[in-house]
Amino acid sequence: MYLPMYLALLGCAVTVLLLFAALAVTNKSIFTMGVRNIIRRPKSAAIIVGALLVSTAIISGSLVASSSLGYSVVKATYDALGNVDETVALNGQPFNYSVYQHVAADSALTNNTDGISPSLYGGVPSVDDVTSGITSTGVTLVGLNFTLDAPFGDFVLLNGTHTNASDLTSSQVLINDKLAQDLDAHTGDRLVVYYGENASSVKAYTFSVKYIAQNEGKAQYELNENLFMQLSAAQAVFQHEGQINEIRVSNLGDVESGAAKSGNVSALLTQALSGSSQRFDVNPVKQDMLAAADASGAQFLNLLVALGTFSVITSAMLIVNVFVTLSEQRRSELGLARALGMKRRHVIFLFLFEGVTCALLAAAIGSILGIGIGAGLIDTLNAATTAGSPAGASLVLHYDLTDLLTAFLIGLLVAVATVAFASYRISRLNIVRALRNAENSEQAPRLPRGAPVLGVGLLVFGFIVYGVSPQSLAAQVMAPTLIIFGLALVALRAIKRQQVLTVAGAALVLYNAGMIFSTSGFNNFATAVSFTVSCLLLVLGAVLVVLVNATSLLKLFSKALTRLKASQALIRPSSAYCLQKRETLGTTVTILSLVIFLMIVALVTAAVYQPDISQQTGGYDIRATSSTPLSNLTTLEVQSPTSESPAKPVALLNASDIDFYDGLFVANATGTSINGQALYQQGSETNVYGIDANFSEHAQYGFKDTLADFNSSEVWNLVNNPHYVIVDSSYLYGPNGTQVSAGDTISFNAGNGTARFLVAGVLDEYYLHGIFMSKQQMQHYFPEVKGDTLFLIKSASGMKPIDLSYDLERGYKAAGLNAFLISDEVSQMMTQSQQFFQLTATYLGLGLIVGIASVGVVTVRSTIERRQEIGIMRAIGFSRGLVVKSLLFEATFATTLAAAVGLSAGLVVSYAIYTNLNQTVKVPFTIPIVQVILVLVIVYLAVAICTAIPARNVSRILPAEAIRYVE
Amino acid sequence: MLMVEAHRVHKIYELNGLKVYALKDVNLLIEKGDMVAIMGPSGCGKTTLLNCLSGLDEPTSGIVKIEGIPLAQMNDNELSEYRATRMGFIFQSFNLLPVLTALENVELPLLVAGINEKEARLRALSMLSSVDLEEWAHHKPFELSGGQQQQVAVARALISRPAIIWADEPTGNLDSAGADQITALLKRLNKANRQTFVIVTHDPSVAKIADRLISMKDGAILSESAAPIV
Ligand SMILES: Nc1ncnc2c1ncn2[C@@H]1O[C@H](COP(=O)(O)OP(=O)(O)O)[C@@H](O)[C@H]1O
Ligand SMILES: [Mg+2]
Repeated sequence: MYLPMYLALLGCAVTVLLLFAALAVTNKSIFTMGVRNIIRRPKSAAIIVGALLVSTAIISGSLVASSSLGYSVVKATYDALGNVDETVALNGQPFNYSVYQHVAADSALTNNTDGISPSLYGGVPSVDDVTSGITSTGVTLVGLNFTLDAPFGDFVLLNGTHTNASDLTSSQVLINDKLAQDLDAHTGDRLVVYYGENASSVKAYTFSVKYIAQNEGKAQYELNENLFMQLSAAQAVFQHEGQINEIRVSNLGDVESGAAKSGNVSALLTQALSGSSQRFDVNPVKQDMLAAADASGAQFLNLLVALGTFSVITSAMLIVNVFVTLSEQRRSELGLARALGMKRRHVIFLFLFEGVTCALLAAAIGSILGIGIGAGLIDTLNAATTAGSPAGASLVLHYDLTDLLTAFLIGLLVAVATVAFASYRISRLNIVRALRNAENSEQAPRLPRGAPVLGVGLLVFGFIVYGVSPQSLAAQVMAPTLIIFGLALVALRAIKRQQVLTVAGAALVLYNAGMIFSTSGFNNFATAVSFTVSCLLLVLGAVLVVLVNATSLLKLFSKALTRLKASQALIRPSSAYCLQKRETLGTTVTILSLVIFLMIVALVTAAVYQPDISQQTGGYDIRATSSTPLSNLTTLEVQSPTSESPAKPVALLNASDIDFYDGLFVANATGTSINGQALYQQGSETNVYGIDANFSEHAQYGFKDTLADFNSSEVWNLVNNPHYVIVDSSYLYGPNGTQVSAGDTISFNAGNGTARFLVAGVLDEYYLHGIFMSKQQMQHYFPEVKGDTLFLIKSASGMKPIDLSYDLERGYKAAGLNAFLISDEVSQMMTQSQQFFQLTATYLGLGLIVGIASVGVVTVRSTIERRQEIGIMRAIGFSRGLVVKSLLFEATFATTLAAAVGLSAGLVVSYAIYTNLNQTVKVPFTIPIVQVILVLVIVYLAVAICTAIPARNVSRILPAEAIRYVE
Repeated sequence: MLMVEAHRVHKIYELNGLKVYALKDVNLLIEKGDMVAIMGPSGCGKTTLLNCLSGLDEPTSGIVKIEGIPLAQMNDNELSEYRATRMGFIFQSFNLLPVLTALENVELPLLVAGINEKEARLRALSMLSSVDLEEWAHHKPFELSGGQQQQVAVARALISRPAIIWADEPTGNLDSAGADQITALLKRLNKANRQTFVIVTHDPSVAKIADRLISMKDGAILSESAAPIV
């Protein structure tokens, strides 16, 4: 939270409370009355507090969650880097040890740092523990001069003792516990490290484990599985004698305080290296990572704010309705008070005092409940994040008092504003009720005489806002809204209300849709806010359009129901109520529109980014790549790359472990384009796969699109024709990301020219991300391809895919085979989107519950208000069922309007999110029709239930009692 | 032919544990075509009796039969249908649905009875013109005077040509000119269609048009006279 914003917030809250206190002092008797009401009606008070605390809890939860995220990422940064503040590197290339000596001799540097250490590190394909017989891939080998590295901190061994490991001989290594766990390694075990620049030069090197260090400090460097050895030993493995690839620098000060001096030390390093002919990169790594942590925390908060706003708004509407409904129950009491000389102002005060007292309570409880919501969000995120995400360590719950205080203040302000509005509404209601029937004018209230003047005022204000800073958030979001309504108010003088408001609503929709499409990401607070506000205005604009046209829409709706044999006795009064209780209709439509809108956005976004994993696997379990072609995956010859043969033979792969597998040729094509247009956000490199009949027979990928009149087996056959290829659905092209379809032409560079093909079919899969052609074609275009290097494998039914993948890697070590579980890879591709979806779902749940509850409260309110009228209807001959149906008619009409608004706005916004969010995987935009229908059905059902219960209750009252009620 | 029978009808309200004996052992027979006025001091149980007889309320004990059928034997749907086709109601105030126009209010019982829209509209219009309100057909209740509203209510009560019309203080909220109009209207309709009228009233001029007068006191029928007492 930025300090000025925080102070402004504090100022606002204090002012409001002072104002409230002043009012309380000057109206002491009313204040006591209000407070006494809370004590006298604990149930009503509990309902009000409950409704009020929802928004505070949401805000507090968002703050707590983003604090936790920021904290966790910062902690992960310190864990990963330890004392390392800067690194010097040469684009990953090795460089001469003398560079280190030069830097270490610089006195300005040595005065400002407490450690400078040379290192040579890199990934090795695999490490075997000969003793346990287990292989680990993806290990990082770190070569250090342990004496020079001592200032970066000790290793802490499993038994708790500290060592700087300087006593390691050149055949001994220290491994971290992460690697030890993976290898089931113990001190004294023999490890074989395999490394080679290419498959043919792979050599094995044997070491013994001297130390196992806990996963902390520098042992968990980069949070990897690490194997530490003397610099000279690492130079031998990597075959870079006398070279290093990184110089690590620790600034004066400890892990945290060192980072602040990064700017100064980086400058000194750059200066020291300026004489060199090579271009070294000086990276203030810790500072960079901390900045990134800050940014990701802020981005997360922005996202939460955006999502939370909708729930806060629906809950505010809920509060107003709860308040008004509860006040209905004390009408007679209020009437008496008014008769005894209480002014309308005093009625407002009475409810205000009651409400603000509840608001204080609610804000306090809500901000504390937010910790729970934050914890829930963090849990959801942890569950969605698979191990090995950039943040590495899982998130921990962390918050401080300012988070809670901020939530308290914002929550209080929101609650007080809501309460003030509700109190005002109540006081109006009672006045109107006195002149009861005057309320029922179908014409909307007369325009106040000052409307055009106000309109001109809004216009001028709008243009001023725009003129002052056209780039600002206010100008982009507020000014157009002001201008639209200013124009509308002026136009109302000459043009019919319905037309003016329709145009104004439509203008609001169009402008904000434009804003939404031009937003990209949630990278800063301003974009997040403007995106949210634009979404909100888009929905509200659409709500305005349908509400002012409710009469014609209602006619359509009634006509449809008449077709369904609904009686006119049902339709007539219900329609009249819909049109005349515009406020009820408006409230219900707004709430439900927002709810449906949010659900649709969440659903469509989730469906786009989280398609069915099984659809991507094609029935295979494992994807394996080898650096040298393999002719047959199941005939295993164990190859020992060097004379150094393992003491114990590794477990071998059985041919019967594999159900079937398909080998594919792989090549990389450049300059790919579709229909002459560049690929969309993908670069122009792409995989080309050579396939044979086995693949087309085994692969369970369906076709999303085929040339007309071709069935799928014919399309597979077309691949043998040199003019055709099959592509998968990962291809989008052109400025708007058009999805590739059958019949498109696709071309790439081949040899000295361009190869051009017709797309015969589009596979319903994007995981492999490639262009498929026959192996013969492949050899024609890519003569360098010698054989299968990609294998798609289905494990036998008794064999666990994970075990098979280990066996494969072990068995084909020499071929540089890497095996991956397809389901893991696909879900990893989706992790980021899953997080987004989980978050959305959490807020959605809140919004949905609050929204549906509001609809229930609205119905309760109408049944209370209309109790006597319902009695009359019963006397005329309305059966109980007909009364319930009438109320259901109104709710269903409102839901239908809301469904139209929510569905269309939701689809537009999800499409905007789809085109704007930069995702690692670009998948086609699809609308999950079944789920969308399901959502609508759920909303209709929820509304029906929330309506039917109070409706049934009121219909059961004896008509005599209902009629008597008001007298 | 008997229109309404009440045997040993009691009605007890419970208010915060306090028992209010609103009707005590009421026995009553009303013939078809009768015009009955029920009079008595405020709070003596007139409204309660009317509601119990018409099925808007349920007596605590006793039997009420209408056209020979015990009300207690009808379920809600049957009772509702009966009200829609055979009964009309006029109340003291808040008679009309405020959201509907005068015409729509009058039409509503026909629509409930399942008569098609066209016919309902024609009949409602002629009904409104018979009470001289056709110009006001498309106005909302709040645009009408109290007397006009009550005339619309009478039109609505009579539109489905019910066998029996229940009126609870139909002139209670009207000035004397309005009251006279309503009284004349009721009298004219009773004469014309031989419908049964049961009217609770304070108003002697309403009582004057009745053939039977029932006086109540403290929840019981005090006296009954075949001819109006003025
Ligand atoms: N719903 C009710 N609950 C409690 N008491 C009632 C109720 N309705 C009527 N009463 C009481 O029953 C008595 C008769 O009321 P009512 O029939 O309305 O009298 P009237 O119409 O003659 O003025 C009164 O004492 C009244 O207070
Ligand atoms: Mg009465």
